Amino acid sequence: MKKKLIIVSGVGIILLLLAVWAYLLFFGTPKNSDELLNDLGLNNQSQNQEIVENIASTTTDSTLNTERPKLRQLTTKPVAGFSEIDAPVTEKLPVLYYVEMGTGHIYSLNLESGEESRISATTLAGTNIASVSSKGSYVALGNKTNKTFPLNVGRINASTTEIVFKELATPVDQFQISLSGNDLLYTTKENFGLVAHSHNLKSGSDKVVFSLPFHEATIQWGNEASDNHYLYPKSTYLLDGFLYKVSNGKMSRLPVDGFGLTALTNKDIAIYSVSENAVQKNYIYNYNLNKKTEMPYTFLPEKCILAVTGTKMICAWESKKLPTEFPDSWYKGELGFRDSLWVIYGDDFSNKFLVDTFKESGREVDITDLSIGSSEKALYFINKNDNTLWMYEL
Amino acid sequence: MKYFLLIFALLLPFGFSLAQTNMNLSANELSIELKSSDLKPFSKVKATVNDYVYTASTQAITWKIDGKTKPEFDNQRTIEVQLNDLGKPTKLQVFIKTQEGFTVSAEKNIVPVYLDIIVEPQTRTPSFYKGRALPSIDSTINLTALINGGIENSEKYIYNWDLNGTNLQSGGAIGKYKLSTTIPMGQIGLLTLSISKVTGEVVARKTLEIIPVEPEIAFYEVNSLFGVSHLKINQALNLIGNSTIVRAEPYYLDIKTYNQPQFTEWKIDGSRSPNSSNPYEVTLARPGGSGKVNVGFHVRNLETLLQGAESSFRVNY
Repeated sequence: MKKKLIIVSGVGIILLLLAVWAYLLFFGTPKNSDELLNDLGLNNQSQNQEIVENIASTTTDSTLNTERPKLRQLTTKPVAGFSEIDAPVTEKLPVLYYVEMGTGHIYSLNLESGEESRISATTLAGTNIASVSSKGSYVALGNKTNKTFPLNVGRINASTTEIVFKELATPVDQFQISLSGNDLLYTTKENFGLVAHSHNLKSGSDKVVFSLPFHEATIQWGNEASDNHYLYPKSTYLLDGFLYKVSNGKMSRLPVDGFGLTALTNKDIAIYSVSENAVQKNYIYNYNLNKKTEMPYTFLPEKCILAVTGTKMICAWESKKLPTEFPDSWYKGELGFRDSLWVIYGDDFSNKFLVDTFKESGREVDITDLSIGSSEKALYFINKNDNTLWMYEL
Repeated sequence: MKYFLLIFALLLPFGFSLAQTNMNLSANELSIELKSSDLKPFSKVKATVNDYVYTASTQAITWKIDGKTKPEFDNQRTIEVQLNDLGKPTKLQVFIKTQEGFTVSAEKNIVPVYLDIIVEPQTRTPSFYKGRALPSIDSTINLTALINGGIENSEKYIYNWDLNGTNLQSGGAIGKYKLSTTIPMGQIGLLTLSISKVTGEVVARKTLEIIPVEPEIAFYEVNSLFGVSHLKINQALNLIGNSTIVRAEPYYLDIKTYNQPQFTEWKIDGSRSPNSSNPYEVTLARPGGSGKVNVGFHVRNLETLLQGAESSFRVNY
C-alpha cells in the first residue's frame, strides 16, 4: 500500500513538472509579479486600466528631445590633456583639442557639430600627461612613470598628421604651455631644490623663471612666464603647508597656511582648505582687504576654478563626511566623489546649483582638472575615475 | 683647620661682592618676555613683564602698544597683543610705578616674521600621487627653513636645530637653513628650530611635531597602454579579462628600502609566487572557471624591521 502511494505521488510530481515545462516552453517565463498574477487570474480591472493609461500617457509625451544636454561626456578614451582652441566669438561652440592617453594622438573635436578628427597620428607610447596651447599650435607630451619624466614638445601642423617631437634636455617635474602659446613653463628637480624654467617654443631658448630651496611643491602657473606664480608645498593632512607668491623671480610669503593646505588663487583672492583639529575647513583670503573669512562650504580648491578677477568660482563638490586623512585618501584613489557643480560667490557666499553629475549621467564623475576656454561657453573637466573628458555647457 | 679658616676669610669678601653685583644686575633686569615662539604677522602673542625686584612694592602697571596707552591692560603682568603686518614692528612698553614713588620701565620691539619649516619625507609615493609623502620610523626627512618665504639672509643667521632634545648639529651653524635627519623611534618627533643673529638676539623660533606613520601597501591595476590606474583596489578586484597586472605601492616606505628591498614576496592563496623583473608587480591569469583567490604582498628591510609593510586583496574571477 505504501509502495503504491509513493509510485502514484512520484508520477504526479513528474506530470506536474512536465506541465510546467510545457507552459514555459510555449509561453516563456513571467516578466514580473504582476504578469504572474495576471496569468493566474488574480489581477483586477483597475490595474489593467492603470497600465493602459500609463502606456497612453507615455505615447503622448514621447516627442523627440533634440536639445543637447548641458552635461556631456566628450570622450570614451582616457585623455592626457586638452585645450579649447581660441576662435573669434560666435554663437557656436568652439573646437577643442585633446590628447589621447597611451598613444599621444591628438584629436580635434568640434563641440557644435560633434565632428571629431585626428590631427596627429604620431605615437608617443605611454603618454599620460599633456598640455596643448590654446591657439592649437604646440603640444607637450609626457610619460609620467617617475617623479620626473621626459617631456616632448612639438608643433601641430594643419597640413599633416605627423608631428616632429623634440625631447627637453632634462626630465621635468611639472609643466604647462603659457596662455599665449609662446612658452613652455616647466620645473626641474636640482640638488638644492626646484627650478622653474621658461622654454620658448619657437626659438628653443630657455631661461630660469625662479627657483625654490625645496622639491615638493604644487605650482599654480601664471598665464605667462613674467606673471605672478603661486605655489605651496604638496599637501598632506599631517604636515604644515604655506602659500607663496613668486613675483619677478622673488618668493614672498602670503598669510595663508595650515595642515593639509591646498589653495587656488587669482589676482584678488585665494581660496584654500586646511585641516583644523582633523576637521576640513575652507577659507577665502582677500588680498585687497587683507582679510581672511571662513567659508560655509567644504571643498577641495583643486576641484574648483576661479574667475580671472573677483570672487566668483565654480566648484565640484559632494556633501559627505571627509576622513581625517583628507586629501591624502583622495590622492591615493581610495576616496572618490559623485560630484555636483556649483557656482559660488566668495563675497557673500551665495551659490547657484548647476548640475548633479550622477543624477544627470548615471555615472560616478569625480571631477578634476577644471578648465574654461576663452569662449567661456563651457566648463571642461576630467573624470578622475577613468580620465575621460567631459563638458558642462554654461 | 687653620688654613681652612684663612681661605674662608680671604674668600668671604668676594662672596659678598658677587652677591651684591647680582642684586644690582637684577634690579636693572626689568624685562618683557614673550610666551609665544611663533611671531608670524597678525598672530596673537602673550607678553609678560619679568619683575623680580618690585613685585612687592608695585603700585601700578601701565602698558603702551606702539606708543599708545592701553588702559585695558592696566595692572596686568601678562597681556595678549596682536602683532602688526610683515615689516611693521610692534613696540611694547611697560611702566611699573613703585610704592616709593618712582617708575621703572622696559620695552620690546617685536618684528613679525614668518618662519616656515618645510618637511619633505624621503619616502615612497607613486608618480601619480599629488600629495606629499609622510615620514615613517627610520626614514629620512629633509628640512628647509624659510624666513618670510626666502633664504636670502640665511648667511647672517645661526640655525639651531633640535629633535627630541638632541641637537642635530652639535650646536648652531651659520646659514644652515637646510638639514637632513632620520625619524627616531617613538610616537612623535618634536623638532625645534631657533634662528638667531650672530649677536645672540633670537630672530625666530618654531617648534613642530613630526608624527611618523607606518608604511602601508595599496594595490593598483596596470594597463599596458594607459599605465597605472589611479583607483586603488579596495579589498577585491574583479578580473574581467583573462589576465591583469597588479602593482603594489608601498606608501611611506623609505625610498632607499623601496629602491633596494631586501625582502619582497607575492603570495597567491598562501603559495609564494616567483618574483618578476619588477618586484612590485605581479601578473594574474585566470585559471579557468570561476572562483576567488587571495593575493598578498610583503616588502621589508631586514635591518630596520619597521621599514616594511604587507597587505592583501581578493581576486574574484
